[in-house]
Amino acid sequence: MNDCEDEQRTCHYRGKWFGFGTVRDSEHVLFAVFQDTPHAESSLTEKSFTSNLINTSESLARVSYVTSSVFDRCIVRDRNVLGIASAHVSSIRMRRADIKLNAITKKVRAICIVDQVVPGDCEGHAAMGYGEETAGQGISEAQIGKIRKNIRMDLANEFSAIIPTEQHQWPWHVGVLARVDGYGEI
Amino acid sequence: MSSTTRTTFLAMAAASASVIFVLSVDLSETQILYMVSYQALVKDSVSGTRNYIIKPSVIASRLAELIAAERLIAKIDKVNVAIADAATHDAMIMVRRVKLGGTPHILLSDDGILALQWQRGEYGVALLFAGDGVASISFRRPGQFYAENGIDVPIYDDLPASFNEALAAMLV
Repeated sequence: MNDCEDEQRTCHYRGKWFGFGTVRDSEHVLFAVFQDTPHAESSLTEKSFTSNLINTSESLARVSYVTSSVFDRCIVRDRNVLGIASAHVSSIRMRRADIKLNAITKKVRAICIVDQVVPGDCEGHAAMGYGEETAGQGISEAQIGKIRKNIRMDLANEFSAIIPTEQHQWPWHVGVLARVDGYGEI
Repeated sequence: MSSTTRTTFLAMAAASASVIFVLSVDLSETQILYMVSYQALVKDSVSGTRNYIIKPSVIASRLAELIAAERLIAKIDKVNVAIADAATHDAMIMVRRVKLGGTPHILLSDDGILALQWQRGEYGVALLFAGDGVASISFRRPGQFYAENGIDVPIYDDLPASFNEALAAMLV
């Protein structure tokens, strides 16, 4: 069974001919840190991530496709942004969690990243969430809670230090258009 | 502590028979926080959301006070309040017994799970509490991640040597 089936198909609300396609392992993603986002000095902590991870709707921006103006308009909106933290998609997808089931320990995907775009999102929006099997059958609620907290602690370590948005190298608008669906990637 | 604060606190404490045992000791700011938290826990137990009362003897270590303070300020989803209270209770029992060193991050998330995390660079060790009477130990080292290993220890048992070694290595 594939833990992250939604990674294999586009999750754009308008269908597969829209957006930038599935999130590739080679991409980087950004996590926006707002004034009310818990963090420790310049690092994310497990508390930086919300319960949106449960239904794979923790927002990310795809570095290759989100320009500075799109970030301000669609992601920051009127909130106070402190900065951004970035991570490599493949590093996050490589993370596994141990699930103890009676006599055996099973390794399952910890985090899935999908190209989820819903009305109001920018085209370069992505989302991450726990792998389905982190809450599989036969696992107690207490165990699920601990597994997921460990996952969030690992996730916090996968992201870079928080930097001000002006220090990030945003793609040019023309460059973003040239990267549609992976073709003509610069 | 200012005399005004002390007076206010003493008045508050005197109003509650459940906290009268602390009136004879010199109180720090942290202890005041703890007392407020303690009162909240007692209140919860009376209102039926939690079926225990923390005994005064549990109030021992500074880390336990900080855990109680974290419980006081943490935003917990309503449905997970009982888990958070039980996890706090378990953590306080354990930290009082095993006398942990260093200054861990105290992470109580909205799902009610409490973690004590010591991390330095690539190395880390964490104790996780979910209120089930078990502390789960996780390690982080190069090539090893918190979610990929773990040892479960009942809160009344001794912590394994691997935990003590990992913690000692980080506190050097």
